[in-house]
Amino acid sequence: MYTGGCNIDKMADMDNLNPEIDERLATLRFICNNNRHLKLNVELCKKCENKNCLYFCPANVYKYENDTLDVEFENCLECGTCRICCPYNAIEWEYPKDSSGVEYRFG
Amino acid sequence: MENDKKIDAIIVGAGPSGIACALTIKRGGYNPVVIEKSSHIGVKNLFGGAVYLESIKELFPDTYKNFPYERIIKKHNYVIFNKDESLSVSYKKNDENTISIYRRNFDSRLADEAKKEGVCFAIDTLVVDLIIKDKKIIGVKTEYEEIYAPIVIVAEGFNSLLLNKAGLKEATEPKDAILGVREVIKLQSDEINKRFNLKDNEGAMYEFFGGLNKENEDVPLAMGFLYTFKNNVSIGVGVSMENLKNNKITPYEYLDRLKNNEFIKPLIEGGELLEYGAHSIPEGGYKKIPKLYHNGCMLVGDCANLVDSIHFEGTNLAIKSGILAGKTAVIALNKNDFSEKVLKNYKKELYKSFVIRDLKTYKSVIETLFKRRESVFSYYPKKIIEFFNIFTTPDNIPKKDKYRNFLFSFIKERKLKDLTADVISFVKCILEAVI
Ligand SMILES: Cc1cc2nc3c(=O)[nH]c(=O)nc-3n(C[C@H](O)[C@H](O)[C@H](O)COP(=O)(O)OP(=O)(O)OC[C@H]3O[C@@H](n4cnc5c(N)ncnc54)[C@H](O)[C@@H]3O)c2cc1C
Ligand code: SF4
Ligand code: SF4
Repeated sequence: MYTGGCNIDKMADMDNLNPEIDERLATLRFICNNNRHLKLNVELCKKCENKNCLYFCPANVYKYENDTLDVEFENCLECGTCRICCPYNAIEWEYPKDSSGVEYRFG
Repeated sequence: MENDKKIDAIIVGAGPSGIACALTIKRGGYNPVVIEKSSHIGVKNLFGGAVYLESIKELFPDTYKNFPYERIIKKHNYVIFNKDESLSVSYKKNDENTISIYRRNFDSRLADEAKKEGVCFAIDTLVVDLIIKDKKIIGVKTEYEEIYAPIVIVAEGFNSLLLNKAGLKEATEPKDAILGVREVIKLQSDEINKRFNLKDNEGAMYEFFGGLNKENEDVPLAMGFLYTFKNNVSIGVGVSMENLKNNKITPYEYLDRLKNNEFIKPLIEGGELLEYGAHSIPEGGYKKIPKLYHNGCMLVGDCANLVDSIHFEGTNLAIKSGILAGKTAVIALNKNDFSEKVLKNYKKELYKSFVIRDLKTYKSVIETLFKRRESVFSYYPKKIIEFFNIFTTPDNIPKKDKYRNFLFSFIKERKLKDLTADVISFVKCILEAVI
């Protein structure tokens, strides 16, 4: 199991009450694992007009760049929203293995 | 996994429900094993911040006071707001039944108590499947090996992968789920005491209604919450996934709107963001409880949808369901019969307890809140605040005229169809709650 290298422990400044999502994610600890626990069925995504996963994910994991959907699974909070909200069931969803993924200090 | 002792029961998930269940089975004289995917107990879990102590007292009548609590919640506040006005009801309680705590501390303390009594935990282990043979659940498959036991208790939380995969729970629809997004903000303890008007060790909690949509936007079914810890506050919002799915507004945008409200901003201003997070909550209520028992298997806590989402209450229901399933497991182990015939006793006991009785009380509330969300979260909050504005503003217009105009404004502003629907739904909810 690989756990080093990417435990970010940065604290964001709150003078601004609306930090960018990246600043919020930087407050979290993620144990890394290269195993993709979220997989997309891209054929279904091509049919999807609204691509609302760009909005409903609380960690901005889904990004649409150069006509393709990019899944930054390393930032996933494992909340399951995309499992429930994707209208085409296009996401093959598993929990990360090797006790990797998000960990909270103040959960 | 150490295999020297025979395993009598497997519990999947070391949340409050799973630990309470394992401890109950151990106290009944059997050997349970709790399997948990995280590297330390509790670190993957997140909630608002308050635990209602009744169920903890039932488990630990002598030691419950030694739990690593942050503050004892004495002030309960309910706030209705719109863009720049708010109305709050404050209620001071003198009992010591609600406390604030972090899940990492709460879950791991529960586990430590259970370990002291001999419960075995297998952490760092993800369960990937339930093993089913001849319509009986006979064990689990982890990421490493297969483990067998006469009884399996699923305590995996609301994101129920195992139950969905095994066909023991239907896929959740967006309208039956809420996403909670939450931030922990650091503010020194003195500052918290000052801002919330608290003495040391005393805590406050808030529930917020309304004010989260901009003009011409769909009104979301969304409620805000805030809890005080020793040096930090936790502030968050729960938004119906049906709204998240359709509204093209991110969950953290809703949270920002809450934080920037004129009433809430002064409570958290100048604080430092310590941690962001998100987790889902069942919202379907009584009508969405899945079948609670199968041959060789019972469901406890959030994976059985046992959450009172009106009050953000889940840990006490989780613990109570864990205790009751544990007691039934002991009966089954005594009889050496793990069929539905014996395990249905769990359902019977749960229906007699406060868990199902409370969920039944609010049977239609969630559905109503969703259907009438424009009324509940936008129109009536606006009207209530308007009323208090009239009530408190001195000018030269006779109050009686103002009140009369206020009453007429409902008829002017609201279609008769909407008014009737509001009244019928509210009466229905109230009747269900009292009958
Ligand atoms: C935003 C939010 C705010 C809340 N606020 C409050 C509050 O203030 N007060 C309150 O009482 N309740 C609150 N709740 C509800 C409360 O958190 C839950 O009801 C409670 O945690 C349920 O306990 P549980 O044991 O059923 O499940 P969980 O606490 O979810 O525990 C499940 C455990 O199982 C583990 N697990 C899951 N799948 C597997 C697997 N396949 N293999 C191994 N391990 C697995 C998980 O890692 C986890 O440790 C809140 C919930 C949320 C999301
Ligand atoms: S919502 Fe689902 S189907 Fe649509 S783009 Fe996103 S993942 Fe693909
Ligand atoms: S589980 Fe939650 S955090 Fe992870 S990708 Fe899906 S919506 Fe985003």
